[in-house]
Amino acid sequence: MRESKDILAGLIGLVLVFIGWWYAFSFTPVDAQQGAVYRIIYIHVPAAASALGLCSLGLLVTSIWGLLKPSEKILQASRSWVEVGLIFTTITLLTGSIWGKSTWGTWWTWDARLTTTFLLAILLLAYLLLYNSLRQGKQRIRICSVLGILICVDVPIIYKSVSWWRTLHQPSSIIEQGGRTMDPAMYNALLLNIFLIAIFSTLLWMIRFKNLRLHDQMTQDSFEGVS
Amino acid sequence: MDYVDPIKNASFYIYLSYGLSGFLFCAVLTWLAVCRINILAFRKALEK
Repeated sequence: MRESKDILAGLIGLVLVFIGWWYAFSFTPVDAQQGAVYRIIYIHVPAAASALGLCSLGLLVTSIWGLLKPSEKILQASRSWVEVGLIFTTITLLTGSIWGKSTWGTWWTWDARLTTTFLLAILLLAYLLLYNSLRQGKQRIRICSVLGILICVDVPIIYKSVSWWRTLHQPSSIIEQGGRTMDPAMYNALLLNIFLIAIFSTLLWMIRFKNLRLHDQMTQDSFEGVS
Repeated sequence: MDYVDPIKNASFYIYLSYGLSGFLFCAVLTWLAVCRINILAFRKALEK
Protein backbone atom coordinates (compact mmCIF):
# COMPACT_ATOMS: atom_id res chain seq x y z
CA MET A 1 0.00 0.00 0.00
CA ARG A 2 2.88 2.33 0.89
CA GLU A 3 4.26 1.88 -2.64
CA SER A 4 0.93 2.80 -4.27
CA LYS A 5 0.00 6.03 -2.52
CA ASP A 6 0.75 8.00 -5.68
CA ILE A 7 -1.75 5.90 -7.68
CA LEU A 8 -4.43 6.89 -5.16
CA ALA A 9 -3.32 10.53 -5.51
CA GLY A 10 -3.65 10.16 -9.30
CA LEU A 11 -7.21 8.85 -8.85
CA ILE A 12 -8.05 11.84 -6.65
CA GLY A 13 -6.48 14.09 -9.31
CA LEU A 14 -8.73 12.53 -11.96
CA VAL A 15 -11.83 13.07 -9.79
CA LEU A 16 -10.77 16.73 -9.36
CA VAL A 17 -10.50 17.07 -13.16
CA PHE A 18 -14.05 15.73 -13.50
CA ILE A 19 -15.23 18.20 -10.82
CA GLY A 20 -13.55 21.01 -12.80
CA TRP A 21 -15.46 19.95 -15.91
CA TRP A 22 -18.72 19.81 -13.97
CA TYR A 23 -18.06 23.33 -12.65
CA ALA A 24 -17.34 24.63 -16.15
CA PHE A 25 -20.53 23.07 -17.49
CA SER A 26 -22.70 24.28 -14.61
CA PHE A 27 -21.52 27.81 -13.90
CA THR A 28 -20.50 29.35 -17.22
CA PRO A 29 -22.74 31.06 -19.77
CA VAL A 30 -22.90 30.01 -23.43
CA ASP A 31 -20.86 32.00 -25.95
CA ALA A 32 -22.72 34.69 -27.93
CA GLN A 33 -21.30 33.51 -31.27
CA GLN A 34 -20.37 29.85 -30.82
CA GLY A 35 -23.12 28.79 -28.45
CA ALA A 36 -22.41 25.79 -26.20
CA VAL A 37 -19.68 24.23 -28.35
CA TYR A 38 -17.13 26.75 -27.06
CA ARG A 39 -17.12 24.64 -23.83
CA ILE A 40 -14.53 22.42 -25.52
CA ILE A 41 -12.18 25.21 -24.39
CA TYR A 42 -12.23 23.78 -20.83
CA ILE A 43 -10.37 20.67 -21.98
CA HIS A 44 -8.59 21.96 -25.10
CA VAL A 45 -6.77 24.91 -23.51
CA PRO A 46 -5.84 23.19 -20.19
CA ALA A 47 -4.45 20.21 -22.15
CA ALA A 48 -2.45 22.57 -24.38
CA ALA A 49 -1.23 24.56 -21.36
CA SER A 50 -0.09 21.36 -19.71
CA ALA A 51 1.67 20.02 -22.82
CA LEU A 52 3.27 23.30 -23.89
CA GLY A 53 3.86 24.76 -20.43
CA LEU A 54 4.37 22.24 -17.68
CA CYS A 55 5.60 19.20 -19.66
CA SER A 56 7.86 21.23 -21.95
CA LEU A 57 9.35 23.07 -19.00
CA GLY A 58 9.89 19.74 -17.21
CA LEU A 59 11.49 18.30 -20.34
CA LEU A 60 13.73 21.36 -20.80
CA VAL A 61 14.94 21.36 -17.18
CA THR A 62 15.60 17.60 -17.09
CA SER A 63 17.29 17.65 -20.53
CA ILE A 64 19.68 20.45 -19.52
CA TRP A 65 20.30 18.63 -16.24
CA GLY A 66 20.91 15.42 -18.19
CA LEU A 67 23.55 17.15 -20.31
CA LEU A 68 25.29 18.69 -17.31
CA LYS A 69 25.09 15.69 -14.96
CA PRO A 70 24.21 12.58 -16.98
CA SER A 71 22.36 9.90 -15.02
CA GLU A 72 19.75 7.24 -15.79
CA LYS A 73 17.47 8.73 -13.16
CA ILE A 74 17.34 12.15 -14.83
CA LEU A 75 16.82 10.50 -18.24
CA GLN A 76 13.84 8.62 -16.84
CA ALA A 77 12.47 11.90 -15.48
CA SER A 78 12.83 13.37 -19.01
CA ARG A 79 11.17 10.36 -20.58
CA SER A 80 8.25 10.60 -18.15
CA TRP A 81 7.70 14.26 -19.11
CA VAL A 82 7.78 13.28 -22.79
CA GLU A 83 5.14 10.60 -22.25
CA VAL A 84 2.84 12.87 -20.24
CA GLY A 85 3.44 15.64 -22.80
CA LEU A 86 2.49 13.28 -25.62
CA ILE A 87 -0.80 12.39 -23.90
CA PHE A 88 -1.74 16.04 -23.50
CA THR A 89 -0.57 17.01 -27.00
CA THR A 90 -2.77 14.20 -28.38
CA ILE A 91 -5.75 15.49 -26.38
CA THR A 92 -5.04 19.04 -27.61
CA LEU A 93 -5.00 17.82 -31.23
CA LEU A 94 -8.11 15.63 -30.84
CA THR A 95 -10.26 18.22 -29.07
CA GLY A 96 -8.96 20.98 -31.37
CA SER A 97 -9.92 18.88 -34.36
CA ILE A 98 -13.44 18.30 -32.98
CA TRP A 99 -13.80 22.01 -32.21
CA GLY A 100 -12.52 22.82 -35.71
CA LYS A 101 -15.12 20.54 -37.30
CA SER A 102 -17.94 22.24 -35.44
CA THR A 103 -16.84 25.85 -36.04
CA TRP A 104 -14.63 25.83 -39.17
CA GLY A 105 -16.39 22.93 -40.88
CA THR A 106 -13.27 20.79 -41.20
CA TRP A 107 -11.55 18.23 -38.94
CA TRP A 108 -8.07 19.30 -40.05
CA THR A 109 -6.27 21.99 -42.00
CA TRP A 110 -2.52 22.60 -42.41
CA ASP A 111 -2.76 25.84 -40.46
CA ALA A 112 0.41 27.14 -38.72
CA ARG A 113 -0.83 26.47 -35.15
CA LEU A 114 -2.12 23.00 -36.01
CA THR A 115 0.95 22.02 -38.01
CA THR A 116 3.44 23.13 -35.35
CA THR A 117 1.44 21.30 -32.65
CA PHE A 118 1.34 18.18 -34.83
CA LEU A 119 5.11 18.53 -35.25
CA LEU A 120 5.44 18.57 -31.44
CA ALA A 121 3.54 15.27 -31.20
CA ILE A 122 5.81 13.74 -33.89
CA LEU A 123 8.95 14.99 -32.10
CA LEU A 124 7.77 13.55 -28.77
CA LEU A 125 7.14 10.21 -30.50
CA ALA A 126 10.60 10.44 -32.08
CA TYR A 127 12.11 10.96 -28.61
CA LEU A 128 10.48 7.75 -27.35
CA LEU A 129 11.62 5.83 -30.45
CA LEU A 130 15.16 7.11 -29.98
CA TYR A 131 15.12 6.29 -26.27
CA ASN A 132 14.04 2.71 -26.96
CA SER A 133 16.42 2.17 -29.87
CA LEU A 134 19.63 3.20 -28.07
CA ARG A 135 21.61 1.14 -25.60
CA GLN A 136 21.58 2.23 -21.98
CA GLY A 137 24.53 4.49 -21.16
CA LYS A 138 25.91 8.02 -21.21
CA GLN A 139 25.60 8.35 -24.97
CA ARG A 140 21.85 7.69 -24.83
CA ILE A 141 21.47 10.28 -22.07
CA ARG A 142 23.34 12.89 -24.12
CA ILE A 143 21.49 12.22 -27.39
CA CYS A 144 18.07 12.17 -25.70
CA SER A 145 18.90 15.36 -23.77
CA VAL A 146 19.87 17.18 -26.98
CA LEU A 147 16.63 16.04 -28.65
CA GLY A 148 14.69 17.09 -25.54
CA ILE A 149 16.10 20.62 -25.80
CA LEU A 150 15.38 20.73 -29.55
CA ILE A 151 11.76 19.69 -28.91
CA CYS A 152 11.38 22.63 -26.53
CA VAL A 153 12.39 25.02 -29.35
CA ASP A 154 9.07 24.15 -31.04
CA VAL A 155 7.06 25.45 -28.06
CA PRO A 156 7.58 29.23 -28.53
CA ILE A 157 7.00 28.70 -32.27
CA ILE A 158 3.62 27.08 -31.50
CA TYR A 159 2.75 29.90 -29.13
CA LYS A 160 3.67 32.69 -31.55
CA SER A 161 2.39 30.92 -34.69
CA VAL A 162 -0.97 32.71 -34.52
CA SER A 163 0.70 36.12 -34.62
CA TRP A 164 3.59 35.29 -36.99
CA TRP A 165 1.42 33.71 -39.70
CA ARG A 166 -2.12 34.26 -40.96
CA THR A 167 -4.04 31.34 -39.48
CA LEU A 168 -7.56 29.98 -39.07
CA HIS A 169 -6.83 29.48 -35.38
CA GLN A 170 -7.94 32.35 -33.18
CA PRO A 171 -5.26 34.65 -31.69
CA SER A 172 -4.32 34.53 -27.97
CA SER A 173 -7.28 35.49 -25.81
CA ILE A 174 -5.96 34.68 -22.33
CA ILE A 175 -2.59 36.42 -22.24
CA GLU A 176 -2.76 39.42 -24.56
CA GLN A 177 -2.03 43.12 -24.67
CA GLY A 178 -4.94 45.45 -23.97
CA GLY A 179 -6.77 43.16 -21.55
CA ARG A 180 -8.73 39.94 -21.74
CA THR A 181 -11.65 39.47 -24.09
CA MET A 182 -13.25 36.68 -22.05
CA ASP A 183 -16.20 36.91 -19.71
CA PRO A 184 -14.96 36.67 -16.05
CA ALA A 185 -17.10 33.57 -15.35
CA MET A 186 -15.61 31.79 -18.37
CA TYR A 187 -12.10 32.98 -17.49
CA ASN A 188 -12.30 31.75 -13.87
CA ALA A 189 -13.60 28.34 -14.96
CA LEU A 190 -10.79 28.12 -17.50
CA LEU A 191 -8.15 29.01 -14.92
CA LEU A 192 -9.57 26.41 -12.51
CA ASN A 193 -9.40 23.72 -15.20
CA ILE A 194 -5.86 24.71 -16.22
CA PHE A 195 -4.83 24.38 -12.57
CA LEU A 196 -6.55 21.00 -12.08
CA ILE A 197 -5.15 19.53 -15.31
CA ALA A 198 -1.67 20.76 -14.27
CA ILE A 199 -2.03 18.91 -10.95
CA PHE A 200 -3.23 15.78 -12.76
CA SER A 201 -0.30 15.97 -15.24
CA THR A 202 2.17 16.26 -12.38
CA LEU A 203 0.62 13.24 -10.66
CA LEU A 204 0.76 11.22 -13.90
CA TRP A 205 4.43 12.19 -14.25
CA MET A 206 5.16 11.15 -10.65
CA ILE A 207 3.49 7.76 -11.09
CA ARG A 208 5.24 7.07 -14.41
CA PHE A 209 8.61 8.16 -13.06
CA LYS A 210 8.24 5.92 -10.01
CA ASN A 211 7.19 3.01 -12.25
CA LEU A 212 10.32 3.46 -14.36
CA ARG A 213 12.53 3.68 -11.25
CA LEU A 214 10.97 0.57 -9.71
CA HIS A 215 11.30 -1.30 -13.01
CA ASP A 216 14.96 -0.32 -13.27
CA GLN A 217 15.63 -1.38 -9.69
CA MET A 218 13.85 -4.69 -10.26
CA THR A 219 15.86 -5.39 -13.44
CA GLN A 220 19.12 -4.74 -11.55
CA ASP A 221 17.99 -7.01 -8.68
CA SER A 222 17.08 -9.83 -11.06
CA PHE A 223 20.48 -9.55 -12.83
CA GLU A 224 22.26 -9.66 -9.47
CA GLY A 225 20.21 -12.76 -8.66
CA VAL A 226 21.33 -14.45 -11.91
CA SER A 227 25.03 -13.52 -11.54
CA MET B 1 -38.39 32.31 -27.06
CA ASP B 2 -36.38 29.09 -26.64
CA TYR B 3 -32.59 29.25 -26.98
CA VAL B 4 -31.39 27.90 -30.32
CA ASP B 5 -27.70 26.94 -30.45
CA PRO B 6 -25.90 28.39 -33.50
CA ILE B 7 -23.91 25.16 -34.01
CA LYS B 8 -25.83 22.11 -35.16
CA ASN B 9 -25.15 19.00 -33.02
CA ALA B 10 -23.14 21.06 -30.51
CA SER B 11 -23.74 18.56 -27.72
CA PHE B 12 -22.34 15.73 -29.89
CA TYR B 13 -19.04 17.59 -30.34
CA ILE B 14 -18.87 18.46 -26.63
CA TYR B 15 -19.57 14.89 -25.49
CA LEU B 16 -17.10 13.54 -28.06
CA SER B 17 -14.32 15.85 -26.76
CA TYR B 18 -14.91 15.18 -23.08
CA GLY B 19 -15.69 11.51 -23.65
CA LEU B 20 -12.45 10.89 -25.52
CA SER B 21 -10.37 12.88 -23.01
CA GLY B 22 -12.01 11.22 -19.99
CA PHE B 23 -11.55 7.79 -21.55
CA LEU B 24 -7.88 8.49 -22.29
CA PHE B 25 -7.25 9.74 -18.73
CA CYS B 26 -8.90 6.65 -17.23
CA ALA B 27 -7.04 4.34 -19.61
CA VAL B 28 -3.65 5.91 -18.82
CA LEU B 29 -4.23 5.80 -15.07
CA THR B 30 -5.40 2.18 -15.25
CA TRP B 31 -2.35 1.24 -17.35
CA LEU B 32 -0.02 2.92 -14.84
CA ALA B 33 -1.73 1.12 -11.94
CA VAL B 34 -1.52 -2.26 -13.71
CA CYS B 35 2.19 -1.68 -14.44
CA ARG B 36 2.78 -0.86 -10.77
CA ILE B 37 0.92 -3.98 -9.61
CA ASN B 38 2.96 -6.13 -12.01
CA ILE B 39 6.29 -4.60 -10.94
CA LEU B 40 5.50 -5.02 -7.24
CA ALA B 41 4.30 -8.61 -7.75
CA PHE B 42 7.45 -9.47 -9.72
CA ARG B 43 9.67 -7.89 -7.07
CA LYS B 44 7.90 -9.88 -4.37
CA ALA B 45 8.48 -13.06 -6.37
CA LEU B 46 12.19 -12.19 -6.72
CA GLU B 47 12.53 -11.68 -2.98
CA LYS B 48 11.24 -15.20 -2.27
